[in-house]
Amino acid sequence: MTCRATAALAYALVLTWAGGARAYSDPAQFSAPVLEAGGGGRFYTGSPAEGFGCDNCHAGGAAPRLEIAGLPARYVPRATYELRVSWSHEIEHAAAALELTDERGMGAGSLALPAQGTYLADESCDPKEEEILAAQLYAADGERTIAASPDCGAFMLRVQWTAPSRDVGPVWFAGSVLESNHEGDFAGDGVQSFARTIASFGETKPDVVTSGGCSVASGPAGGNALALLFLVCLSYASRKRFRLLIVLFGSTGCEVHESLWNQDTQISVKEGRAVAAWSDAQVLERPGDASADADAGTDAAMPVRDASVEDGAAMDGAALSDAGDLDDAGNEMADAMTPDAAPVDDSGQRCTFHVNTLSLGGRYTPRNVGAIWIERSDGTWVKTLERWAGVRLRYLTGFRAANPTGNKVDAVTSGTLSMFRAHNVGWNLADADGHEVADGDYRVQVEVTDVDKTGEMLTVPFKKTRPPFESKLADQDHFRDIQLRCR
Amino acid sequence: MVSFSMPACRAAAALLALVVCSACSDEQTSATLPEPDGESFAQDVYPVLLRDCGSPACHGASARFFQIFGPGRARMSSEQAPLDLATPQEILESYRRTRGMLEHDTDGLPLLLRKPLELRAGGASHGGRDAYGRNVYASKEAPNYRVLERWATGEGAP
Repeated sequence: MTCRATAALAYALVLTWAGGARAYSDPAQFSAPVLEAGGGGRFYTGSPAEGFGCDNCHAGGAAPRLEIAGLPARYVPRATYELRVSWSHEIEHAAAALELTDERGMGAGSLALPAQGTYLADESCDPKEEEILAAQLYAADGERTIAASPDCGAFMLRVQWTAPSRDVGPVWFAGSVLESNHEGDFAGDGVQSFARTIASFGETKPDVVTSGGCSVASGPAGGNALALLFLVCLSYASRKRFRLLIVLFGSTGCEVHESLWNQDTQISVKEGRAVAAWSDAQVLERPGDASADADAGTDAAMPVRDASVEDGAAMDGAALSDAGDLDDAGNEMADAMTPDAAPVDDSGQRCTFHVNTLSLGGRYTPRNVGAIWIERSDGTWVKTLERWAGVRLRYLTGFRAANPTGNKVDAVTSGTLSMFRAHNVGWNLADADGHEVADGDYRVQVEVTDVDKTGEMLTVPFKKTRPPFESKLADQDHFRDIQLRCR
Repeated sequence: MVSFSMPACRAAAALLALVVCSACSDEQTSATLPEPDGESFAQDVYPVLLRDCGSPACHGASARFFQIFGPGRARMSSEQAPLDLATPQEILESYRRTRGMLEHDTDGLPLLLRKPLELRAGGASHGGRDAYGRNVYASKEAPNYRVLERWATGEGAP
């Protein structure tokens, strides 16, 4: 190397050697730049988009055993399914990430987290009594959404998946779970990855494939060759079915178009591919299309609600739709992708509170957590207007101290925001129980932090009278455009 | 944890001065290799290598000649925490190792560009395929491949 080239490199090294170290305890770090020890946008779910699971880095430990539940044999467009991945309670330190993509690695459908108030103990961080959901959603390239659970004491990652509104071919449900020895390095950790396919409406599920010579090969999901053996066993028990199977394979050289069904397993043979799929899915919602229901291929699936699902509609506040159609509660991921578009949430509300938050310069900036709430001037709790914090809710010390309800949130809730931005939140002049508050002195409280400790607070006092009334505050160090307007 | 501070910056500059002298003394023994730009390596190529090649199970492994060192990956020193920022030594050593992958036949692609490329796109001899049997870059048009290519061929920034 010439001195000139080396000197240029040395100069570049000085320029790039800045910033602070990061921690992967927050799954958001997977989307952080690699120079900041981030994943550079790679979440290592093992999906067709990622290619690799956690074992691309971690190794040396025993692979944790996983239980996967709720996976449908086929998806009905726009139907919503609850999918669960759980691991043993004996595992002290575990983290998980999963996603659903099509074969090209593009996001398929939309993911939502369990609704507030329905959290299971297994999917909550320690301490369980705080009811902090471990899972959060993260946007990734290719219109993908990653659900990830950090190492915080959870034993389950549960998501609600709304299938795409149109047929996108087979959908891959892929993820990776890491059992860590908690030594802070890559050694001695166990990894279990999974990749299952969900056939689309009217398709077969390519889990077990007989290729050209009718030899059974393990599909990408692996393990489901047992399904074919199961079919053979069933066929022996039912000579009629056995004969049919032999006829199908023998007469057409695998070019057959028939299917067999039994109570638990759907097995079909189509165009040279023998296909098996379990149908243990629970459909939470499905569109009202009767013909779609009839052909869904999820014979064990029972619709819980009859409500129609609009295209891309999300079930929960932290949802991200595949079509970019976010409901009012889906602000988190929308903001991460469209930072200049501040959501307006004043539909039907009598008051709108606006504030623009600015970076505090903390370790995780521009990612931030925060909350906006109403309390009386004497500190009596009234209502949460917005909360954007998951695991790091613990660092919203002002919010937690003010809220006597054990952090049960009665307003828009999402996870960590990926940038500071404007917040527009509505208020109907009611308390958490829905009763209009009495006239008097109140205040809007805003708390934001971008570091693992208490951040900044903003207090906006106002006198509640018969509307209209409003309250404004001058810009402050970390808060701008502060205004409450009631009409 | 490494945090940016003026003393740390001065220490880095002093260390880099030593590194530069050391590198200059190696000039004669490595003269047959190309001399791609160091600045663009640190700014453009090194992040790509960390992201696409440098995981501990791949080219972060010490058994490999082409080893990449850096934050969240393999570290050169056991004194560094896994997530500490890259040190000048790590970036420089990664440069040296990467430069070593630029050796090639007269009409062939250098190893750096040939190995991570799919066979049908002209690649060869790479064991690092993902769970779906795919190589790192599906084609020469992959954005990160283009970063490597521009640097390796001295093409410069787009």
